[in-house]
Amino acid sequence: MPDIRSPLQNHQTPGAFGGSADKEPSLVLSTAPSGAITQLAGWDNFVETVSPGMKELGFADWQDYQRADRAGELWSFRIAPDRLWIIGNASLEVESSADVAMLDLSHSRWRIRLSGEQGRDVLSRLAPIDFSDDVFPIESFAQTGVHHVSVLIHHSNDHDFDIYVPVTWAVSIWEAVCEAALPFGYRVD
Amino acid sequence: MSARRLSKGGRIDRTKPLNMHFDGRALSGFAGDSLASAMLAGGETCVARSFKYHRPRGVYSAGTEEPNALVHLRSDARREPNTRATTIEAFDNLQSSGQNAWPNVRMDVGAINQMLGPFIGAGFYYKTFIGPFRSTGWWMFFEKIIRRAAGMGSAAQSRDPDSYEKVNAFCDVLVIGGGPAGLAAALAAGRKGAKVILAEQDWELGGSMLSAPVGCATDRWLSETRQALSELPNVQVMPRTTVFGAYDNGVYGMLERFWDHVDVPPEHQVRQRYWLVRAKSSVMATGAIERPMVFAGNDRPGVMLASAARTYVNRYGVLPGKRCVIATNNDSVYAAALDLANAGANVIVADCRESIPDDIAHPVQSAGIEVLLGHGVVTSEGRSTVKGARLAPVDENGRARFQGKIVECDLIATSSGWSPVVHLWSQRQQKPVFDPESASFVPGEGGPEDIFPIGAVTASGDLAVSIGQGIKAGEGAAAMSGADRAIGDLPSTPDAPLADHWARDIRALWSVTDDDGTFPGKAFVDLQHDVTTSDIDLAHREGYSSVEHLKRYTTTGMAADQGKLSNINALARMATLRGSTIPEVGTTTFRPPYTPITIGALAGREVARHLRPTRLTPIHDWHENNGAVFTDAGAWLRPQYYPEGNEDIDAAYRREARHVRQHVGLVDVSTLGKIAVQGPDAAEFLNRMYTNGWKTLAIGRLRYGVMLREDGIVLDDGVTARLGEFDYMMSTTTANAARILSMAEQLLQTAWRDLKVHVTSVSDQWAAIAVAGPSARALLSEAAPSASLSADALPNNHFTETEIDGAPVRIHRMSYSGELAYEVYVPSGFAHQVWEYLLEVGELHTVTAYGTESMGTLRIEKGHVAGPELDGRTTLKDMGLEGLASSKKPFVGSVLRHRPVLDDPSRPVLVGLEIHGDTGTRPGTLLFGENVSREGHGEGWVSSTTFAPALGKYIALGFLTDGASRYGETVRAVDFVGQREHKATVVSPHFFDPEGKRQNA
Repeated sequence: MPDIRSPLQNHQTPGAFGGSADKEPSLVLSTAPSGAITQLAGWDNFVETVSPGMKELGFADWQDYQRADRAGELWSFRIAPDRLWIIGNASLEVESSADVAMLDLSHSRWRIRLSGEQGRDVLSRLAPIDFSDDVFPIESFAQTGVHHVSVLIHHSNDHDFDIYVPVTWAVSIWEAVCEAALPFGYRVD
Repeated sequence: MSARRLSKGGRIDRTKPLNMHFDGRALSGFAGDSLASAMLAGGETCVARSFKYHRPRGVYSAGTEEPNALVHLRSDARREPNTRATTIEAFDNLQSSGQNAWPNVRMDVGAINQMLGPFIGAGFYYKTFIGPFRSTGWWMFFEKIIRRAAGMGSAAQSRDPDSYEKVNAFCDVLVIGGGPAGLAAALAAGRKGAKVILAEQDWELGGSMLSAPVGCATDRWLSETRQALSELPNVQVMPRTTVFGAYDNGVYGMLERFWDHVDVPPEHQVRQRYWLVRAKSSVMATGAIERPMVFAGNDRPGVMLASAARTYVNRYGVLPGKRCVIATNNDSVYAAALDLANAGANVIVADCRESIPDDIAHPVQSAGIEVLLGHGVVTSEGRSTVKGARLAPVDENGRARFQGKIVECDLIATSSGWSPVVHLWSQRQQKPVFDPESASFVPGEGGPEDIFPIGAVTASGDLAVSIGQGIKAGEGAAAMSGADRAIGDLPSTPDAPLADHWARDIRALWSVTDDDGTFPGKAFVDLQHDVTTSDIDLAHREGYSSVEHLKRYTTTGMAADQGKLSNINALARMATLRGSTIPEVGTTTFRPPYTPITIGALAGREVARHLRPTRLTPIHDWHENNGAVFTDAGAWLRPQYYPEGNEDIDAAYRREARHVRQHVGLVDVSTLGKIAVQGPDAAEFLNRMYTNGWKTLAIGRLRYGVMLREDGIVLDDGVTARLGEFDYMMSTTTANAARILSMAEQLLQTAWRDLKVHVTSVSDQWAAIAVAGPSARALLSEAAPSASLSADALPNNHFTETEIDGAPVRIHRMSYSGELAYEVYVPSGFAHQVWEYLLEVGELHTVTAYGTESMGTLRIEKGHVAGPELDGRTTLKDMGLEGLASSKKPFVGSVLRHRPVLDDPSRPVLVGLEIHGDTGTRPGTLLFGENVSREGHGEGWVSSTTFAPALGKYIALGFLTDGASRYGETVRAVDFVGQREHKATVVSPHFFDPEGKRQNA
């Protein structure tokens, strides 16, 4: 399989930007492929239908709408009452059935990561969500809008926030994130 | 007026001198000054000209209520109009200038308007421009002149070089106002453990305490409280931040002037921030604004609010006048009187009441202040500044009992009570109620539970009461979000300074007239909008008795200060005229913003290129690197053409179109909407969405379909592929992708709850490349060697899954151009590579990339309908697609498409047009029969036009009444906008290869 090409290939320049000249920026912006995204969608009795499969994958607590559940290198995001995203290294090779529709969305999103203590301050300029630790602890996620585009934001690690952006909007959103980060100063490796 | 800087005192930093300019003249000041205090200290008496009459005006207040001292701040691209000098924090190198005057505010030619005063009273525009002229033409002409003569400052014309940002914030308690009550509330709520934001519009915390003499008892409380707040990490103190709007569910808009107090913000930093705060509860400690007394000449430079005079003396160390007359109806001015006297001024108080309390009388007497009880100021004397005041005994209606005497003075300080700042309360749809005791509108009982109004906004009485209210409200607000820590010891409440409030013994008297009830000169109710008492009288005579009508007719309470000073005085005048009371007259509704907000802050970073997001296809970088000229298609940027050498658009698209018909071309069609339709009822869903039948579509097949709107008009068209038993992929036009998805979502969640179907956008998952031209099969066979692409193996409307250069792809056999053609669907992360590989392999087949312009040409030659034909006016029948409508099943639009108007046989139908001559026509051009007069809307219109390289002539698609039976007829295509007319022959819309031999090859 060929490499997935970054939609930001011509737009992501390494270096240090913004902030004040006498201070090394502590915020790091990086991007990567989303990893394999598989959408599971069902209808009535969705939870009962997918529970055995989810259990088999190792997910114990996947029904929450605001917390991602982790099973090894897989994360599940319950994005709607009858829809789930599973993000990981490989897509689930399962065909649609009459009860569950499977959809590969691996190429549809790109991941922008904000690393550093100022990440949540930058996000507060981008989305109307309370990103403070008591409201949005690790593994929280939210589906919201950044620069008028719908995105999924995941608090993936201590000071890491991941924004999953649709690839065709990636350049615009990347630029919006960079501009919002400019007063703080940021580094792109 | 002869203001001067005192040799000591004030809360300014005399070790930090500042150099500023007003109207090009040097103005010195100190850190801690406002622009207005520096102006007063520098002897700038006349700082502005009034809105309508161009009367000279001086600094009138010391806060946001300032009606007069509106100035341009900064210059060139950074020039900001209508800024209030009283709220501008002085900084080094500050440049400001007067506005609404020529050549300058001290000598203004526009002052001639004063002579015209009698003619430009209330309703001038309505009366002048609506009656006699009977058209807007006159208004359009005169408006330009009037706007120039009567107006405000002028905005910069070039792009603002500074940046702004929007920030979202969340808190338990938002405390609005950093005066004594707000500070106490913030400290109490913070100690309780709540997450607190304290917003104060001034650059310093303290509110009214900053206007008290330096070193008095309140200073200790202030510094202890500030210190205690700074020790709380859960309290965010935000000076220079105005809460300008209060909205439902505890949402507040705030403007933070982050780097406004410097000449140029530091690199990368924003000048202002627009905050959207979501607060679980809020404390409104918004304070009160002093009201002026209305009398003749009450706008002359040298007249100001009594509280402002006190602020200038105590906070800024500026004595605004040496000989002061203070006019009042309440106690609050006596603090100002004492402070002015202590600073060396000679002070006379004209108090309209018959007596004053002993606790005031004694200190005032020992300070040598003369108090004239039962007196008022009838008029100010002087020309461009106050030289004196005529004082007279007044009766209970404010009428002078006799002429009175003129007292020499250079400052008239006035107070007719105070107006609580109920604006934010009112914005939450709450009606303020009139409190007769304090003669002011205050927040009523039974307001929203999450709002705690405290302090002067409630006419609280005195300082101790305000601080007590603050502590209680802070605790109560914090408790609403469950904060329950002990608050510990708080700074002890200081002794109240002399007469620190107005409510006690206030006399409801707002204006002073001569004994016959008339004003011996212009008496202003609204200084900013130049509304006089006679304008209110006129409005009343003409029947404008409702306060809302009064406001709009006279414009009182409009403009930048939004009636902060004028509101009650206008209401009082109206009440007098109507013979009723102020509560009966009522008050107008306040709306956001409380103070003006720059558009730049509201726009934040969504300016210029980022006004809206831009959408790029996964192959965009190749297009850009290869010289494509882009065109906007909604939010998308699409390659319009790829010029070679010096080619212009015409040469390029003709070459590209010709090339495709001769060899093979690639076009990026990734912008097409793609929707995954999944589930056991997917075929039924398609049956209801599209007009044609879908139950028989086999896996591996494609089908073209058309959708209607519910009203029977054609909405969209596209091809849907059946990928598996439960999986389909629908494609839509680029323009309608989002609309179709949301329509499908809505139907599935409302009318079609019975269907087990999910729809998901896969527009970002899949890129698409159309390969078109006689060599398309040869090219793709080489690029995808494992696929069978022969006419037998892959006929039209079939697809196959294969690999190109290692990437999994789906090849659809379908044609938009009329050539042998395929669409290659490729996961978007591989699209750039596959595109390049196809070009590389295609080199032997003479491949070229082509853009949207030639793609349009090819489809017009072929007679395919697209956006210009599906324009929201046309039906299936109009386009000759009637055969696509099934009669065996219902679908969206199936009922209403048979409305008589849509079945009318005289409706224009799709035709081709061969344009005579060597120029083309334009979309929107109207069609007329050869011998029909060129009037009305004609017999049809042109929708799409192009030069057709395949035919060697200009052609067009259009709609023409009885079109199908008029082939061969010559019609006129009249372009009323371009004023051109062409003759055209009506033909079949299928200009090129009507039998479809080429696409079926």
